[in-house]
Amino acid sequence: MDTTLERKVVLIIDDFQNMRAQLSQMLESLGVKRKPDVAGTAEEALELLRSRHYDIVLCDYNLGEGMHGRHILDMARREGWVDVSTVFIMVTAENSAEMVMGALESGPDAYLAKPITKELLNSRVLKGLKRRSPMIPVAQALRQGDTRQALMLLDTMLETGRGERTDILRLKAELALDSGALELAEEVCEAVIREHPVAWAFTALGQIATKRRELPRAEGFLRQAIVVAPQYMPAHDHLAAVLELQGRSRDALEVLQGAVGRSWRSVLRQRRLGWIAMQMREWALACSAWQQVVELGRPTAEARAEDCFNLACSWLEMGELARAAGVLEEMDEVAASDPLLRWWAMAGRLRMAVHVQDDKEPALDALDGLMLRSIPPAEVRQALVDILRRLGEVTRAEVMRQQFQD
Amino acid sequence: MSKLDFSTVLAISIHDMKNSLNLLLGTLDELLETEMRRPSIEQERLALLRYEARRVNDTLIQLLALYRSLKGLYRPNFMPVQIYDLLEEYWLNNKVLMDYRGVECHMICDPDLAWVVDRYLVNCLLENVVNNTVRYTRRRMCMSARQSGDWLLLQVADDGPGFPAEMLGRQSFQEGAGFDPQQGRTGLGLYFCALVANMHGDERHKGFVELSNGGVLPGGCFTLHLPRLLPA
Repeated sequence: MDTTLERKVVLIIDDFQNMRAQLSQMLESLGVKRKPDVAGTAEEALELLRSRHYDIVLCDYNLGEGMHGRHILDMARREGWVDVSTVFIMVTAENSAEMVMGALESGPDAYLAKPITKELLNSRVLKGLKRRSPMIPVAQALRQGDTRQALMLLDTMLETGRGERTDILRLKAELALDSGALELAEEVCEAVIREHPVAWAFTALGQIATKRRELPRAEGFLRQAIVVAPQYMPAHDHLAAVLELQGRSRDALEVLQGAVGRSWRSVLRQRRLGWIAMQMREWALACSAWQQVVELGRPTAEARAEDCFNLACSWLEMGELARAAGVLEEMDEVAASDPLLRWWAMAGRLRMAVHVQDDKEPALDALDGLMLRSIPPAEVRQALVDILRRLGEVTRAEVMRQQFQD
Repeated sequence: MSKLDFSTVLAISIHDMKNSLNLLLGTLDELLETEMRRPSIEQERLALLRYEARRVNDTLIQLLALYRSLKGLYRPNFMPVQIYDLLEEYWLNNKVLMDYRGVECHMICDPDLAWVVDRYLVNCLLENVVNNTVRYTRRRMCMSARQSGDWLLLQVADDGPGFPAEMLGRQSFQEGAGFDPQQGRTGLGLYFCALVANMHGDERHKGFVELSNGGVLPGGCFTLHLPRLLPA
């Protein structure tokens, strides 16, 4: 039997116990010696991913309770729990339309549609390992924060022809970009594009131009990336950011709306959309964006108290008092671990008092009480100043503004 | 859940049923593998069970896809897909049954060939075609894909008895041709394939399905023609 799988550390994420058992059994018959770890919920999965490094992750796409495999993958990649050496395979109930294949952006190495057979699982896992294994030393260097060593390893791989060339070049460009070696990053991207115009390389060039403050040029590259691969979401996100930097909020809003239309399951994208929508006073849009932030971010504890506050404010602007109140009531649960929770709850109560006059005095008393014990954190101050002004408490607002000015 | 329309109910039910079918098929594969190591008359019945279970599975997927597409709920997602992977998936998913029937499968496809398709729809189509081919072929089948100018030609050929004469040629999806419940053949599968092909296209070119006999192998040959599209 093939010994490639013998010592691999595997995690299986599926809400269906029988499915976990079946996958586990299949892996055993394929030669995996160590019993795979299993997770039935997103919370369990994230906890395990945080605590150790896995060689192979099999993750169900549809985990129930609004939690999707895509979301876990995005988060795990962002946190570095799933890195360039990890094989991540998404298991789906159907060959879903939302699948975006692995060659693209941060997608999984493969999708496996149920019913899964041992043969296909074996082939996809081995293929993933073949692609990822040469990256193990690079991933180790990166875990130790040694970007220089990682770049050196990648160059050696390019010279000796080890590993997938396109993966190596892409990682090299990313690392160069992150460490501020813009010339190197640019050189790699241009070389890649000469061979084959790919979205990630155009996007990286767009990011480089942004860092150099060449905004129209950046916009050009990012738009090219979207032409090449409209489903490559990072290009949309960076384009919106570049448009904002140019002060073109309306255009940025349109780009983000389009991006959310394509791929709405991203807390960060929805949050960005929420901010711009509020800025443009597009309250219906703001409501829907903040609602998504709260719902999507809740199971992974990504939702913040501030998100609830923004949602409540947007509802109030729409004249929906009851809904706003409901959101504020839920804030405790949604953002239980947010250290700024009580301050945003306070801000929310004061904001409600703009409409519910009866609570104005008690709310102000509560604010005074809170301020006796601690200083309002920087993040909340501006919101508090604005609300106090709206409450007609001009002096308080001014005191708050001046007292805590840096 | 605020908006619980029929499509959602259908999707959830199918998701559920597919989980069960998944276990059923997995267990059948295991049983079939065990049975193959000792001579037994149960093999044939197991293989038949497996074929039927897969058919239920395929029909469920088609049902959902058709419902969504007829109701305008399905928004196709065209993007570049590695065709080799797509074909390999159906070969490996049916390998146990092929091994059991002593069917040899060949794949002819450039591993780097990528084409803009709706992966979900083409998957549903292949699921249907391959399952049928494994059932009707004798000893060999061949899955192949190649580019011919601005078209992708994807073929599944076998050395079975071939298609009946009245089925040959380009398949139209407009007329409900071939619907014959009396024969135990609803024609839904072929109708579905033609619909999937047709959804791949622009104003000038539309994909289509063609049935022929005697291609690379002496039996039937299913060909899917897909025009070059831009990712959208």
